[in-house]
Amino acid sequence: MRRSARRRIRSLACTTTTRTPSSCSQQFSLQLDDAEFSFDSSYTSSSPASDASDLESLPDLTEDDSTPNTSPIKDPVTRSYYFQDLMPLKPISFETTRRDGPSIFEIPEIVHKILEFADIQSTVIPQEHTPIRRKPLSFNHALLIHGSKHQAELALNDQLPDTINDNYETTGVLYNCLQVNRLFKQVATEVLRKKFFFSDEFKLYQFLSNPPDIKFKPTVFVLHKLFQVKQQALDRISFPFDFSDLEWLELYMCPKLIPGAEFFKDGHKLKKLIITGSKVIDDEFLKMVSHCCPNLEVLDIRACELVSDAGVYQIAKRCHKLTTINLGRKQRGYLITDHSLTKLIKNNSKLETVGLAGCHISDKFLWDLATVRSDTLQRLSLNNCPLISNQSIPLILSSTTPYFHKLSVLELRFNYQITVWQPVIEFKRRQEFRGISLLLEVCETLMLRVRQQEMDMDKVISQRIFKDILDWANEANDGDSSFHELLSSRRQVALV
Amino acid sequence: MGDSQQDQNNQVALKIGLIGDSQIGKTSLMVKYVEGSFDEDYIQTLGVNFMDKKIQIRNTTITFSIWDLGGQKEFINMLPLVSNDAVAILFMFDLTRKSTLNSIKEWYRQVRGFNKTALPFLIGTKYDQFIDLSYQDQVEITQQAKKFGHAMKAPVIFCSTSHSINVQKIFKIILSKAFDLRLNLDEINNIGEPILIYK
Repeated sequence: MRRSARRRIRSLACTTTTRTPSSCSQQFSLQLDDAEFSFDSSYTSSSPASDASDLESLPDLTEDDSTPNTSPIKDPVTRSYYFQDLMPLKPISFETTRRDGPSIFEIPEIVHKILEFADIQSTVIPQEHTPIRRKPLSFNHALLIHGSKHQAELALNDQLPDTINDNYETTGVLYNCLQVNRLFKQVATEVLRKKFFFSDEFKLYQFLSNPPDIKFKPTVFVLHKLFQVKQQALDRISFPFDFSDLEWLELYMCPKLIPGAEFFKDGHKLKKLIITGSKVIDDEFLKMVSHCCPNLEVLDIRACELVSDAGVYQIAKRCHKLTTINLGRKQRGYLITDHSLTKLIKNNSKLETVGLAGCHISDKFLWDLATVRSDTLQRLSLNNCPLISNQSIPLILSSTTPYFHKLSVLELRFNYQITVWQPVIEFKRRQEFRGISLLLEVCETLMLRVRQQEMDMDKVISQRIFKDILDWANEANDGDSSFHELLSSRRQVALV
Repeated sequence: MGDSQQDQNNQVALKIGLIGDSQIGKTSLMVKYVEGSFDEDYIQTLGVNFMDKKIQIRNTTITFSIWDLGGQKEFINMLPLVSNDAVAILFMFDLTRKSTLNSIKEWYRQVRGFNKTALPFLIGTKYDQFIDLSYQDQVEITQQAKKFGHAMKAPVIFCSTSHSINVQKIFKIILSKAFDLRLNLDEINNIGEPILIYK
């Protein structure tokens, strides 16, 4: 009873102090004087001093997420309320801080830091996250991978918790900053113009019909899953843009869009080019990219089925800094073969990730890859590559060869022609010994094959272990002394 | 070590818990087995001691992780640390102190609460002092120990850490029991001799 009454009193006290604008602003400025950068704690921790004795008996509500945090990396959503909450107080809080010297909100450098901070915390660029492992193809497949029914069901019905966060409202933080004052507008514009991204067609058209007064000069340009957006729209967006700083260009599943030459005019800064599922990207486009973007590090053109060896060859000729290349496709795999890829892997000594799902590569190519890129290669996807056989992967991974010692992901789904799995299993165990947990991704049929061969292997191994232990346990000289000696020595002592 | 050798190398790891009243020689047995040395001085174990013994047999490495719980009552709350996941528990008593054998009943009850699958072993220590007892005492203790071993369905082994009697054999029997392998070792059953019953 007493406690609840006290709590009511306390909450009343709180509301009176926070709701009155003047007192709140006072508190705000006070806090600023104390510790300039811990300002975000002041707003919620507004318990009056007279209440201090009561605090001990009450659950401490203020400590949750409003404590000052020096780390810039924090959950983006929880903090974003701050600027919005502050908005109505704007005129008061900024005027009253003028007591001695300028407010930190008047120093452009600090405002810039603050807004960059807000950008890091709240801006979420729409992106397809790489799942930790692929979803199983069937219940039996899941059962084979995970062992128990329960886990198999979980894996199969997984709603993929690591898909993109839909919480785009948080990006509004910087747009709100535009309205604070002239300095904020100037600085926010500076921050905003560096990133351009959309994942919603409706919002994109809204943007086009009423473009904000920002001259974009993006380092990041991402359009995510805009299936219906037409080329015309992209042209209209990009027309006033300055692309000379562009580092990351992504058109993820925007099948009708092809970036024009203006994107690549000053393309030597471009490091990441991701265009997936495009129906319009072709060899000509890749040729242009290869000429303009020699510093490309990531090239992901999955499911761009117009692209053939000719385009990839152009890339191979002029781009030598690639770390990630993905040419995976479902159809027209015959367009990508050893001809272009051999050159590509020879010229790119830093390759870590190579995705060739569905491509018509041969065993010879895989041997080439093993001999030239074992020192860097970490992830290799060869799902559904119909031309590879027992003559490559099982032999390359066998214990007598030193290849692919950094490999941590190997995908071999649907390669039914591979029947020898023991070297692959042994390779996986060797990698574990090196501290690398190899993810071997295969389909159900192959998984069965792998499990069967693994069991046969283990049988042989455990028999060997049993034999070793048995020999040791039955060894006559085990290091113990004979008790007869002890007994006879005691008897002698007794006699003496 | 080359890759091919790593490939062939098989690892087997077993956790073993040592349980019993204080001043029996649990730590001494562990140190003797792992390091081959014996120290007369008594150092009370505070809490839990832990040592690893690796044995290389051709292509197989066996690792005994030996956990030793201090015998004082106040360390009983650390019992799960020692007994959980253990393949074998050595219930140890001092062959010269009957009370330590009687305590085994309670120790056994406690351990079973945490680990119902571990292989129990009944180990009598200080056999080198035991042979100085009167014949009557030796008979009494030996028979009582056999009775306990029978009730616990546990091998009974008398050992002497200081004189290296039956120390290695304990661990060989653990291993053969754990893997259900046939051991050719002769049993020792006579009063006055270091009892070794495991079949």
